[in-house]
Amino acid sequence: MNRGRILCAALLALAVPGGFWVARGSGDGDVGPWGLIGAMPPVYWLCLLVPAAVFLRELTRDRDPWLLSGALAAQALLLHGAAAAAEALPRFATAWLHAGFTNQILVTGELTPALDARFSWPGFFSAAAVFSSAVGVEPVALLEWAPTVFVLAYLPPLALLARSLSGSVPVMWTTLWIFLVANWIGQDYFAPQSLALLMFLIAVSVVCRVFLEPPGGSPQRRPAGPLWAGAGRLRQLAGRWTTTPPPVHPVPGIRQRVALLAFLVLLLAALSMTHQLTPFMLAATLAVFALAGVLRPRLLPVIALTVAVGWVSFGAAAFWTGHLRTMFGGADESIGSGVEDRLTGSEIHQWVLYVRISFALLVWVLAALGAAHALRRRRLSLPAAALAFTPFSLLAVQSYGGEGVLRVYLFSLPGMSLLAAGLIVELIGSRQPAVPARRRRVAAAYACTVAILPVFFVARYGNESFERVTAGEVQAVQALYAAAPPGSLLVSVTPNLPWRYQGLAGYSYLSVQSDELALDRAAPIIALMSQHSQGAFLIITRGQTVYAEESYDLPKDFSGRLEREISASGRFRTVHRNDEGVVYRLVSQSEADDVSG
Amino acid sequence: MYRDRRAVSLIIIGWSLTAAVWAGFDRQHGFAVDHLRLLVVGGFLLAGPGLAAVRLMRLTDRLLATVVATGISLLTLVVAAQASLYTDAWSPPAVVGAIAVLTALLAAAGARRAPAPAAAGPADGEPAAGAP
Repeated sequence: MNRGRILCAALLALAVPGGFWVARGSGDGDVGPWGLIGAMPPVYWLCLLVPAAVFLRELTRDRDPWLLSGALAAQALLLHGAAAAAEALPRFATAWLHAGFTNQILVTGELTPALDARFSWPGFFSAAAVFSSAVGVEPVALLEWAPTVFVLAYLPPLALLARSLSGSVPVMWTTLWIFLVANWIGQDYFAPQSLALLMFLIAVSVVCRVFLEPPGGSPQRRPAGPLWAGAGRLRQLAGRWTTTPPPVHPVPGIRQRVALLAFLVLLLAALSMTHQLTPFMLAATLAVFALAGVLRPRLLPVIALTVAVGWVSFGAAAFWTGHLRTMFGGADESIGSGVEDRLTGSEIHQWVLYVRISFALLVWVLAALGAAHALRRRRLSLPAAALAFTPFSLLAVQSYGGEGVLRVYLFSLPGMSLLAAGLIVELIGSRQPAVPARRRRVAAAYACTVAILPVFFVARYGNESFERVTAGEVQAVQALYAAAPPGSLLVSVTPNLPWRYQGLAGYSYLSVQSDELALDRAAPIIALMSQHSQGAFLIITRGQTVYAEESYDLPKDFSGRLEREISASGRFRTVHRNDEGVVYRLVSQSEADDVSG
Repeated sequence: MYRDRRAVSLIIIGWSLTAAVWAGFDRQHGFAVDHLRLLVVGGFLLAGPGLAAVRLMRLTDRLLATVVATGISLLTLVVAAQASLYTDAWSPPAVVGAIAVLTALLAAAGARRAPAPAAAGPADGEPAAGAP
């Protein structure tokens, strides 16, 4: 090993612990409206640049697999583990809720789909319950590093996928790096979709490695019928412009293929129990492979669809009865509620959203240019294009609570990264000739890398002002549970609260949203809480108010006004108060009159 | 080679037994021991069953074997937990025990199989001989 590579390895070994060391506690104070980017110390940015620089150096020179792997792992840790390193408590209120689902299964061993639809797909929660029990920690303890672990776990199947479809080692490494940097979407927290995406990548990568073959490979087995005849004409047309990667060494034998097919079917079953959307996305991707004539066996998408529909029909019947509209919303709803409705809130919050949209568009445009470039050379990988563009079909059938566009970006990212990587590797050129033109391109690649890392931080952690969780907030939530007798109604003024990680079934919960109730008025909250006969408690925390200010664009002093109204009403008693939150108990009108009298 | 396979199988069986026993403990033992438990038991659940199964399948492409091993471990954990839940026999230690037994059986079967013949040809991931 030469001196340069030893130095690179040493820098990588120092960058991760050094970055985490200087970042600790940075996210616990006021992070500012742009999120973590304003809170991280300058040394952290230097540490963040080390893996990027090592990666580019190796990619354009020696391509040492150990150094490239180390650089990618370090980049994943420093990018996706930044919040875990900088903040004392796990971020993101929904992750705390998922810890509550896990805890509910762990303690009771029962599913309660009446409480939440997600109990109809309990694969992730039951597995997490077994895992947390086996390793001897509370489910909440798993939240902090879950995103980092999931992102690291995505890399091997993505590498297999990229290697199988491109047949190029530089394209494989570049795909991984693009995926790491472009994955700002934050869907890798402690959640079913994180595990489901991992299973999706594993299934697709194994299919691409073992079960793809050039179109028309077995004409005698080709099914008859108008659908296949039409698909055949399309295949002929596509075959002129596209390519399917050749089988790679070592080619699995027939027994191994049978074993891997059985593995895929079992994985499909586990996936169907885990997440409502991903199995259908996988079935759609496999169906496009089959229609393109490159998938053997062709029945695999039918099996995938049958397993997914089977679980929805039987395992999740408690959910879909009466919710078909929710499951199959239209394209207008997907796009409308996915993009337009999210472009609300404070000016800076809207800028964060614009950065996210621009980042997604940049990746898509790069991928489209990569696809066009490959198509011009008649070398476009048909499965890669299918993987990149099939997720857009999701918009036509699934609203997914207004997150359709985000899901499209998430599922298209592996294929898009691959197409964009092909273009970037072509642009940088061969590693051999050190001609000035190539030097300029490599320098440009370094510059782009340096520029994109802060953009990632804004896109990924731009909402950290309200997505982070502080010790004071958790203390207030614990005081709420300590004060509220079982059966009480617990009310939060916005949904952004780290609660329900315990006592999930023991209380009635109500998250008031701005479109349901004016947040800065106490009277409607009192009216709502008075309807509950078993006692009602209200909690207001810093995270809730910042969320309302940033997302609903409410005035900065709205929580102060609300608290003044609460105090003036005489209907609330303060149960707990600290710098980050306050808990009130609603008292009856007669009790309030007695005190005021 | 055959001795190596038996040694690896024995290590996996020992790992399975350790994980199954340790998963049954409730108490916290302190920072170092708890983190060791996370590594041994957590690592077993996320890698053990897949590692044993992949050896039985004799996959020689290391990247493919890594991916399949991860997938098998995850699906084993999900399916075993689901089975425990839906049969009203919820017991996380029993789930870990069942996974450990399955893993030990796969590892034992893997030890009895003859090793895969050395794959001659290009490096992993390169186009196979005769490919267009």
